[in-house]
Amino acid sequence: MIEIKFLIPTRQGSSGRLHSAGAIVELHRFLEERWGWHVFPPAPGGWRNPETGEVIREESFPYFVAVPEEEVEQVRSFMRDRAKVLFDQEAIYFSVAGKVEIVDP
Amino acid sequence: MTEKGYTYKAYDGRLFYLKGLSGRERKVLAQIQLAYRRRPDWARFTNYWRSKVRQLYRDLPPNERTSTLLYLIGEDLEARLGISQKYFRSSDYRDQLNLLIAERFRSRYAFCRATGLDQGFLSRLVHKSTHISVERLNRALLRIGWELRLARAIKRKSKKDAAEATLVESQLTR
Repeated sequence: MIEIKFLIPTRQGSSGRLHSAGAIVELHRFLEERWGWHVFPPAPGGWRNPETGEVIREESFPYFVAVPEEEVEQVRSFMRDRAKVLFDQEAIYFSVAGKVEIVDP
Repeated sequence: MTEKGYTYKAYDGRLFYLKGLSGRERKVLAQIQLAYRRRPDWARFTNYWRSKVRQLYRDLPPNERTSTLLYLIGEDLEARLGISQKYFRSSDYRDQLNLLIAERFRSRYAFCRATGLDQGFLSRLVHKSTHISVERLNRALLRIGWELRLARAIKRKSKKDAAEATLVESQLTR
């Protein structure tokens, strides 16, 4: 099994609104129907916008998921294809077995 | 008609009938509800009730586990707690509109062309910086074969804490 970590910011990217409960339900259902996973309370963090150099501070929910190696792409695809709609993010911090990638929806 | 004490009303208005639950399921549901009433942090509760349900239905495939009454109730309590602790908010028509666009159109531009709505207006609408009249929204939706419908409101006993709304209806011991 491979450990995947990803961060879901607590607020939508463009509007700054909290996410709807429905978005979280969809994410959890997707994970629950396939793998074991765990979520932690939101933690503060930040990232630098490569275009403007501005540092954006935000809180995110850290998720840990244990998946067979051949199923890693399913999680990555979900983040890439659904994250923009569900969480309104330009990119999502995503790490596979300690190797960090940024998933760009 | 529902028998008082044997139903559970979910946050979104769905009604679950609890009469068919086994003794083991009732016991686990009571544990989950007790944990909920203690108002733990949302993430802690989420992990707790899910581990209980996974353990209870360990012989079921995961995709069947998510169709069980206990899963649906746990999911509902999880959402209530997240909303009451201000981690999330209730879904509204803007969320439904966003999902409709994402699932049925290639882009917001395509949606706007099909409905006749201005793209800038749509952007302000989904970001909650403007409003739309019922007539205008319905007219736009009709152009793509959709329409507005009325739904029964979900009663809340307290605006302050939606989470307490209907738990009283789900007492299992009589």
